[in-house]
Amino acid sequence: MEKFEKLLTIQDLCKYYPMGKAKKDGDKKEIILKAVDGVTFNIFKGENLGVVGESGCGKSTLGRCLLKLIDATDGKIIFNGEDITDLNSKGMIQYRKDMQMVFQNPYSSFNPKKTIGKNLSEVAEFYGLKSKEAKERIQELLQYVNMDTQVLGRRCDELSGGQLQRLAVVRALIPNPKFIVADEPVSALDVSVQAQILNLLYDLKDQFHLTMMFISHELTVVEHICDRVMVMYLGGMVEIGVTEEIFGNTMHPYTKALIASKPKDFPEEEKEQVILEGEVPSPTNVPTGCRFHTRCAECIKGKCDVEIPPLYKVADRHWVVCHKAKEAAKAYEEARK
Amino acid sequence: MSELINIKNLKVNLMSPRGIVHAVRDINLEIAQGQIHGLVGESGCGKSMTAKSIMRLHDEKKMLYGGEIIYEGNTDILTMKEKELEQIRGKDISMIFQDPMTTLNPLLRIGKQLDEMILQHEKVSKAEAKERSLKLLEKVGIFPAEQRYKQYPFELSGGMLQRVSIAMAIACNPKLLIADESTTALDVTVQAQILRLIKELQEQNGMSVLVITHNFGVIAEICDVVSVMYAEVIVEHGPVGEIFHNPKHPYTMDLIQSIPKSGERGGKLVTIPGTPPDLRRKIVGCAYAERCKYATDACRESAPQLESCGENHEFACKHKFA
Repeated sequence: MEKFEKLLTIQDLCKYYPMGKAKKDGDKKEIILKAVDGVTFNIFKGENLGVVGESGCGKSTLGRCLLKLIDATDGKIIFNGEDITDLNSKGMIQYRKDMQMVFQNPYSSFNPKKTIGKNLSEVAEFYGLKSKEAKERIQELLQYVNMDTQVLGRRCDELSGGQLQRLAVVRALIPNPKFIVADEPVSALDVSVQAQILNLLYDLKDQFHLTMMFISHELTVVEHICDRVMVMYLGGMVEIGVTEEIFGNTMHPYTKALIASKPKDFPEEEKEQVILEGEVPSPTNVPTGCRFHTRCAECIKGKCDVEIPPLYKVADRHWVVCHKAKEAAKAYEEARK
Repeated sequence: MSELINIKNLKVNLMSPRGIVHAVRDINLEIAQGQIHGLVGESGCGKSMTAKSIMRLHDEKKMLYGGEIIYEGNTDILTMKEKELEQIRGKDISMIFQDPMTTLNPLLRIGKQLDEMILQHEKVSKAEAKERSLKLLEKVGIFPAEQRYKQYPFELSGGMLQRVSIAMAIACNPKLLIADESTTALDVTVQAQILRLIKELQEQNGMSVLVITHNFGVIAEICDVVSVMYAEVIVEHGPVGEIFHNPKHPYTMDLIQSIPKSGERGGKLVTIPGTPPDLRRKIVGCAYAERCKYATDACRESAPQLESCGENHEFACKHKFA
């Protein structure tokens, strides 16, 4: 399959944090916070994969694990055919060029004591560009993001959030990466500026042949710019598929609830009321069986709370982790006929 | 429908080390009884400043008010004495803030904080106050109330705490509830729960609600009337349907178009060039002229006034869009 060439393969990735010991049922037990718990998926060349979920579902941890900013506890990360799971920071240097990140808060992602020019040229030098080349590269990129070279002399407190976020994108593009993780890049920005950054990311992806992982909690934003969407709940993946399938043929009850609880676009809009009750359980105490069964309206007692649901293929490029997926898919097929 | 709060020519000026900041410039706003009124705008446009002025929550040593805020048609909140204000704050007008973690006292049990609120404003015994607190907790969906009553804020999640702060805010059956970005820090699923709760309580008690937000989704979800603010002034005001489908001010139009809608894939979003103006500078003419694609010389010379265009719909722009 030439069309879908894998850039990244993630196998059974886990990230656990030990939280010390506590007394539970009489004896002392190790408490483990399962931030990411056995996630397997691929990222294909040239696509924009959206990752959505509520806060604390492990989406940011996952992004950081992929770039090896934090070490995974278990599992494999294969980038461009090579296993990078066990590389230390020295070994990662050659891969860093290809994998970059844009963070949520643009104000804290630059050194406030140095000028923007210094901030950017340091990065360029780290990736082996001579000072003249670095200057040219930065100027070229500034043109792409529609900014004047004057900003290079400023410090970050003199610039607005939108400007800084564009500069953060410039910094990520300096080494000419193949893969970018954008972790909530528009959440800290105002609505009018959000659109600027979204358009920019959309254009740059084509221009620089980038592959992107776009982490966000805003469904409409993800629907707008992503090709495929992965839905996470409590450290695990519950549904993954092409955007049209996820939004048009939603299978997992959690995804359904998530889509139903996003605010309306227009005041007169009528919508399904599938408001989720309760809140996400603690990741130190993940429910047995299906991790969503405690809040699921369609939970089958004796099955969902005991057995871990399998990965079920609903349609081409659409997978769901749910016991009821088979029935739901059948019902959908029949309804379509 | 009569108005509960009538804000007339409100000005708020703050003294900062770098000069006077015009945080609110000449705002007129009417909040009708039993209505959910939305106040929307970007960060720094003065929406929270306006809301805090209604409760006089600013540090008044460092600032100056202008204009008046008429409460229930006869008293001006801005000239009230501290003693009189205490009667109103929390009782007739109460507020829910953005971050529930910092609203509540971390050292006191939740129940104690609720009781305190009731005891402050009403002549009831401690036992009666406790009984009412428990009822309030149940009303906002916190179960089992008896157990939660004894817990500390850190033992509850963000959504739960926001429910507790709503319980505190409605403890004395206020006439006006101000919700200042009260769902911004929450997840979408919890946001939907909280919005539904606010709407239900509003229908039960018949109170007025002022919702302050930058999120048009929240506005679409619960508001009846919307005021759009830009650079410390109200640029458009009208019923929610009108604002969404028939916006008259270029800023409202651009803002609504710049939000991605569900069901839309790819393609360009409408962007608004530039950034909001510096609040320390004196703005001549229309504040939006710098970023507006329709701006002409007339816009930069003098500021437009709010003009009526249809029922309860006003906008401040020199251009008339059909």
